[in-house]
Amino acid sequence: MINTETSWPGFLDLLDTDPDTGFRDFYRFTYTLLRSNPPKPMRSLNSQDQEDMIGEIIYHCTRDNFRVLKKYTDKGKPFAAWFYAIAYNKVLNHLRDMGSESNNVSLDQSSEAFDLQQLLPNPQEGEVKRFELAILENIVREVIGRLDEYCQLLLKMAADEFTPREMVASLRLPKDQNKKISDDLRECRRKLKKKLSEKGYDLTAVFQS
Amino acid sequence: MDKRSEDHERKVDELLNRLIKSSRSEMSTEFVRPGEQVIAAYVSGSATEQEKSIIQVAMIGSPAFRAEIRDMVIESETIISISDVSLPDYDAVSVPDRVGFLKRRGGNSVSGNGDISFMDKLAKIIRSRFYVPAVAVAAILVLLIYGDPFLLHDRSHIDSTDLILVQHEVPKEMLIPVSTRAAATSSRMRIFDSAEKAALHEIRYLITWQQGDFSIGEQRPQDTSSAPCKDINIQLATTSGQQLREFVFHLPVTDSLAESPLMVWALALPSRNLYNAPLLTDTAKIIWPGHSDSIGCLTITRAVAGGYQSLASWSFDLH
Repeated sequence: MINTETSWPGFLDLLDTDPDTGFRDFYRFTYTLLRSNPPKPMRSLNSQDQEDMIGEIIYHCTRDNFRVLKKYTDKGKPFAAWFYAIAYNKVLNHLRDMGSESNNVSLDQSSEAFDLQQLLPNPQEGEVKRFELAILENIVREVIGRLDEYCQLLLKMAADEFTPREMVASLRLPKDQNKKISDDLRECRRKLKKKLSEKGYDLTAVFQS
Repeated sequence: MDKRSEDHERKVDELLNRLIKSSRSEMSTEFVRPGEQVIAAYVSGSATEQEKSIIQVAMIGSPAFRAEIRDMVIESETIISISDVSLPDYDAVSVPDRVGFLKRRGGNSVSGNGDISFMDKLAKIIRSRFYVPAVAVAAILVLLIYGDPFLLHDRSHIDSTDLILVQHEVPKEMLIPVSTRAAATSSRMRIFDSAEKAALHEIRYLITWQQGDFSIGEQRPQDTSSAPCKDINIQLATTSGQQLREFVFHLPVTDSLAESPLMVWALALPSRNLYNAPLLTDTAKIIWPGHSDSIGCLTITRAVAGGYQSLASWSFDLH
């Protein structure tokens, strides 16, 4: 059993004084942690490739006289969380290098069935509507860019269908902030709608006809 | 707010979400991925305000990165420790070279250098990432210039390639063994960013650790091909010319990559010394270096689009 709560596991003290033991303890820690909690992108790999990946992570952290591990500083947070992010990031980079990453979110708009026309009233108006939609997308892009970063992020996370809990986690806010973030999101949407309205696109009127 | 108003607001929000989503593609080109230390600090909750800002700006720029951060944070908050995870054999083995471990980690890279003929013969010198004693490098260069260093000029083999081998010691952690149960079926299609990584990955399938010693595991047969092949003979010999082993590699000649550079790699154990050389003709001879190295592995790599892959490998025991 490894201690996932400590902010300073013992092997960190050994990196200079007894690197052999430090390495071995770190190996145990890594193997146990990642076998118990394989990062999401690693789960799609077979058992053998997962073992390979763990080896890559160990090598990444211990090469050049434990270069990566020595960058860790104790700020009272669990070392395991810090290390898990390093491992997770390494897995992502590795899969990206191999060209086999399956992104959760596609960047290719053509592959996403955003049938915005269906959301707008009178979709039978066809080409005219489509042309207006392209303009509207450009305006949305421009207007979002003028909001503060917090609002931009909230709006984009909402568009990506993050739940309030996921937004709170992603922003590293205290866990009891779900209601606050829902309220903030509502306020950001209000700001966005107002700016769009100033540009002549009153979305609230779209569905009222 | 009555039900009708709620329904209306929901529809508008949905439209807004779709517009935001469909307008994001051009923004993704601005994305610069933050460094791993910044990401780790953010995920673990120990980031400075500046680091938080870096991450959140990056999250604005990339939907994929947003999803990654979300998953990292949520997963890292739910880490559990399971006591019955079985470690591979490696864990039960004492590290054989405790002092060397530290020394290797503190080592510097050296580059190969030499005369014109040396460079002509080598298609590529793989730079060692680890310490190679300067004396040894100097000795190799002197021998290359003035002599027949490894008795490589075996005139009985007219077509043979004179192999000049670059040597370095492979760190133990690079040889963390791969489970042998899948060795026979594992694909060699994986592409690596260096030929050495491709070679070591393949070699890891061939070795095991038992009772603190290396041993060789199952052979990995060459992937079969129905295409016409030419045979490449690789001989393993002593410094006095005595042949120890011979390996035959069947290179598909209709393969679009048939002309891509091949490299042969040999790992000697237990020393973990790694040797390599370009494979330029149909016959090659490798002078087995060590008296104490009784087992070893051989693999062939080639350059492919986007990197390097291994093609075949053998393990052998000279006892």
